[in-house]
Amino acid sequence: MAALLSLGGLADSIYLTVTHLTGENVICLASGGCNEVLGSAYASIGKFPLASFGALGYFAAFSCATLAAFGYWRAQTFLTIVVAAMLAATLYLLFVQAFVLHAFCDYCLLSAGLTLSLSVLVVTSYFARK
Amino acid sequence: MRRYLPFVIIGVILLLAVGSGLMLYRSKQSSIGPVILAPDKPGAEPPHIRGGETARVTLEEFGDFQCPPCGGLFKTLTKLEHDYGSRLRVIFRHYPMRKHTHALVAARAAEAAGMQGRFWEMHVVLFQNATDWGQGADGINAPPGISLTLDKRSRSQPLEKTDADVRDIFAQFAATLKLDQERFKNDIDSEQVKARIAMDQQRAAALAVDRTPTLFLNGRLIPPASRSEERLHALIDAEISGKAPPPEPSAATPTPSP
Repeated sequence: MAALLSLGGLADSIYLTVTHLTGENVICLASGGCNEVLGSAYASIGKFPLASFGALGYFAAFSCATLAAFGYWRAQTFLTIVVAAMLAATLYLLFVQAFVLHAFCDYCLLSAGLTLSLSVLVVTSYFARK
Repeated sequence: MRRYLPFVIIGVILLLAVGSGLMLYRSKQSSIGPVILAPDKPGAEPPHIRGGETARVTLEEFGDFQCPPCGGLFKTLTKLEHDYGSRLRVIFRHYPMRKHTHALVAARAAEAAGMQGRFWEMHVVLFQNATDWGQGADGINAPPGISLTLDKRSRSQPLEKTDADVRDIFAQFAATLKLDQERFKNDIDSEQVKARIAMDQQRAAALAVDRTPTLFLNGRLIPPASRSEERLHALIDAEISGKAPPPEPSAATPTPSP
């Protein structure tokens, strides 16, 4: 389940990375603030789109989740660390959208939802193992 | 086999992710492409470009570092560049007005800095400190990251400055930007620098530019009344979305540079 969620996040991040690099506007369905958020100074770190770091995070989460599913138990620990870092980044970016940019973007909210779901999965699986 | 299966899955997903990302990038690259503005008209090559290389929206400015409205536009464009990021491409062309005593040497200073890869940094510093070397310029705030303090000698000098005074100030700017001083002083009078400015002036003439600042959005002239940040936002948004731009404001009387 965690691997599937990570794949969704990976696809989302790849799309955002590509649109950032090509300078094209994304199609914003619900929130209407996509271009304001994705065109802001917070959308990149140096020359690298922030979404590319998201893609790396989701790929790492996918790899850990897949390995854990096949019995590599140490991968579960790495998955917890990766998801914790992604959750921290997500909370910061939600704060930026809400209180700094005063705009939200669909794709960022989707990513936030996936990361929160991953976090819930990791926590519940931790307690299930105990 | 089962032992290696997760690694195979991870490898396949990695290949799929990289492959789909590259395919998506290539398809969007070929469908967008940079906006070529008046390619038949002359102009310094390559021009000074900032922003997204393949952005759909290009603002081309013909400016003069000593013209106060250009300083105002500098602030507006800086804000727009921040707002749009890689969706906006800004080109700066030189059009130093004769009535601005030090505008030409300022353009040369910017080009000389450009010879060392620091055109935009010098561009910012020249506008930011226009009151120190060009009379009557408005106070201009530079974007964060570039700050500069002139020594007391430069600040305490009377308003009327000679060419030598201004060159001294520009040399201080160059020092602040950590440019090779000797090379900067040589380049400022070099034929290559003069030729680039002349090419931009030829482009200005070909596009019937007769004042500064003159702004083109994807090759279309922006009237002075539409140079406000809000109006430019609306025009750029319309260009990005492909929708018709909002109507021009009334009383769009052009005002020549003072």
